[in-house]
Amino acid sequence: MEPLLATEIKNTISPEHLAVIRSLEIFDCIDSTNTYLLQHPEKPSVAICLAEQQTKGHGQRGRAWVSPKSGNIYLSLSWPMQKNLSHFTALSLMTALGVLHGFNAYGIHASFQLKWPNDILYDGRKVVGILLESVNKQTVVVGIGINVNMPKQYNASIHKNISDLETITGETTARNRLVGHVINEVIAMLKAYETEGFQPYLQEWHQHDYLLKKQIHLTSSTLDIIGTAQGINEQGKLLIKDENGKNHAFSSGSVKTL
Amino acid sequence: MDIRKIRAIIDLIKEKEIGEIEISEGEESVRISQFNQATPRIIEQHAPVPVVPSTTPFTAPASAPTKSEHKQTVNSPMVGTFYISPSPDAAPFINIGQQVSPGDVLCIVEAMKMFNQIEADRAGKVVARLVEDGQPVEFDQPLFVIEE
Repeated sequence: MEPLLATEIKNTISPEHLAVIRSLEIFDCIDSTNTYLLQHPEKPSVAICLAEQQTKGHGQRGRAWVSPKSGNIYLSLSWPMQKNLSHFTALSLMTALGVLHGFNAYGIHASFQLKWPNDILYDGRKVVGILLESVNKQTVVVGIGINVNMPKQYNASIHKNISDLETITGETTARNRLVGHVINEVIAMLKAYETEGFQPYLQEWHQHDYLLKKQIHLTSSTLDIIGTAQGINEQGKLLIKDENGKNHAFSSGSVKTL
Repeated sequence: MDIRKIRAIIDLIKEKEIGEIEISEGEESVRISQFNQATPRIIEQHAPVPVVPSTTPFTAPASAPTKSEHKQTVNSPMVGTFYISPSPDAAPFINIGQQVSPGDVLCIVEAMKMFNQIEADRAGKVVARLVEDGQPVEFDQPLFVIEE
């Protein structure tokens, strides 16, 4: 396993993007890279935090993100929000596209799928999880967990169909170069979102849409709907046609395919 | 419930054009519906005490709405889902009646897996929460009432 090194990572990041990065910290072990950046809001954006291992890696609503020291990537990046928060919801989907672009730039061209709002899957199995968090109206922390090498013993504890890049490619991953490309492409998409919005990327999203035309079950504490996924709209909301043929758009909820 | 508090809430829903709010304090709860802007209506409930009439119509003073200087709402910065705690098993960020300082986290509003902690922007006492845990909220919808 190639250890993460700031100098190696920076070699892959473009000078233009490198210029906006104020700090890049790598921890051997940390509670959570997202929590670290959230707890240090005084750190100027763009700040980046990576760790070889997380003891309290988390996904949405406090769910655990299994984060052993096995060569996976736990990456967080704080990003300044120039506009009102209400403009920023599709940022979550743009981040997923940025990570995909990073994989492509590195040289992984497998058929990845996007599961709304921002999971990256391969053959229906989760490879990347993304969680955005903000504590104030100025900065959002973008957390990206990439399964590069997830030891098989964790599959049972995760209770999910997961996969990892080394299983998909059959090769050892040059992690520093991969992280550099992911940072590069994610920053490119965050910048693009500020100037262009999500609309120009809607078509690309649809090309990877895992849920499209599938029968799905969307649930939350107030929702329980079964229908056919119809893609997403310009705000990044999930479109569902219910069993009565009525169309709905959702910004929250947990989706399962039927 | 203190009639002055109810009057303040009426002022608030007029000012913010809220359709309906429900506030609980101990065993008392009050729901105020504003069917049109001119005549807010109150339905007061003293649950679970059965001897008290369950509904008491109440008409607000006819005077023009006055801005409440001591009570302010904290509104949602975005469309999303409202959460009172960081995870389903965790304690709420704050309880009704609690004193808060600027920067204290009150709740989370989430959309598309972007979780935003909403902070108090002033010091005061949280006198009401206007949305249930897990409910969808609209942009600028009032979430809490803070009394300075």
